Amino acid sequence: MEKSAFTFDAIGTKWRIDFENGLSEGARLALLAHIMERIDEFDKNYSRFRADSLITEMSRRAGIYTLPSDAEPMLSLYEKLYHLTNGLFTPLIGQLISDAGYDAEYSLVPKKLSPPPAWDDALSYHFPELVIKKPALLDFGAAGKGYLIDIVGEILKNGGIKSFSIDAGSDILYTHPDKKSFRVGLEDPADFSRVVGVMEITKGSVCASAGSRRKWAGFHHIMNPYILTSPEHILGTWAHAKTTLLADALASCLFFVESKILREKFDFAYAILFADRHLEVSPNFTGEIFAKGM
Amino acid sequence: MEEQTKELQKKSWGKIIGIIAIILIPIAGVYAYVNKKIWSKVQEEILEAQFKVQQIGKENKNSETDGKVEEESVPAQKNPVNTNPPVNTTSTGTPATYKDGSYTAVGNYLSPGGAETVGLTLVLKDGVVIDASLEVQATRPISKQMQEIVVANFKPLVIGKKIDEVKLSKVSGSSLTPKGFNDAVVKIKAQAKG
Repeated sequence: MEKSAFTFDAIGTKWRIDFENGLSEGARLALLAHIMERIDEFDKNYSRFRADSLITEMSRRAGIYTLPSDAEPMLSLYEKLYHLTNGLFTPLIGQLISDAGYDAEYSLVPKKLSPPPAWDDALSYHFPELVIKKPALLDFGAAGKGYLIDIVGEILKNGGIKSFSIDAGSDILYTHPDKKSFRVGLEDPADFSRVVGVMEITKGSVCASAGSRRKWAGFHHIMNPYILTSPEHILGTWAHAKTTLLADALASCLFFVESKILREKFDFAYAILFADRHLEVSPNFTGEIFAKGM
Repeated sequence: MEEQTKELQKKSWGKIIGIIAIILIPIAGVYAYVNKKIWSKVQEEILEAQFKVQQIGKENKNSETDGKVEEESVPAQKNPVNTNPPVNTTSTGTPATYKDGSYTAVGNYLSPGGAETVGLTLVLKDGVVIDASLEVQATRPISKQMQEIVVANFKPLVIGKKIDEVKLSKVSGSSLTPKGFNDAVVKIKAQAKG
């Protein structure tokens, strides 16, 4: 078995796939091409940054849309979390983030802000149909990358790859047949050369959410749809779950609701770094915390 | 250089005010427990609280980063496609730059009984908070009780460890920003100076 890696840019971030394989050079290249094609297909459907995407069309034209066949897991999780968080986690956040300045042109200049519509006012979802009642800019950024990582993981598995890690902008999916320990450092949002702890896993996904990079004009890319500001009381969250879709979504949700609300419905571990620099971890957290006196 | 120092100071203040604001939220939360009706009024007061921040104690110049303004950066990676490099990956970033030392702030807020203050001291080293303490300054008995509850529940603080000191398979943090985003930030900062 050989250790190989794919590295490339896609969906606005850097990807790195490390994997063990016995493939020929040609077969590896074919696998990489397949993966990048699939990512582009996903981007063409769900990106609000592309003029040619389904999302952009939905932001311009009301109507009944037939969703792509891969939409179901993502849409149904969004719907479930929308209700669980009383609308704080919503795909309708797109217009708010865009108006705050994080728009398709990266103008980074805030315009007038208004709260997004309620789900039932703007949408009606019964897979495969999504009714756009009035044009709305949807944004699946909170969990879309995670879902795409899962999809890429399936491509690897179908290609006979049994041991791999996918790192897309530091959202991570890991699998190893011997369940070897995998140590994920929790990057300090205040100092990228440091980690505040380590999550030690044997499989599954670790996703982080923090306002430490995409910041502008008093906002970062996570926004509260009711008070129209970015949360300041939490510096960063990390979630470990079976799928990257779930870990990605839950890491965002932890900014908005108490962990126990999410723990009632989902199986996951987490760490939350609050602005006062204390790190709260779940009872099932496995790893290390670097705190004073520890 | 002077402008950079001013911006550095503003950022220090901003960070400290942010930390103070969330220290006071538990105080407000305790009030809310006592009387839910006044919760929104107290919250408003705290958000508008005036802070005076002064740096006390020994000031060390951080020689490596002195004068540099905090910049977002995408770590440089040389990444040829489809290669066989080592499995371990680390990420590097630009450390936040605040002068080492003790920072004291006094927060003013309006309790249902009247104006109160609470003191907060933070110690920064290498841009990381390594110590913090709250000082009960309330004068009214109930306010004093509230502040004491917060002080008693002050949680242990994390101190980050340098990445190369820890055995890691990966580092997980917020997604690297797209180049377009970074370019826009640089453009806006340039406009702000001009």
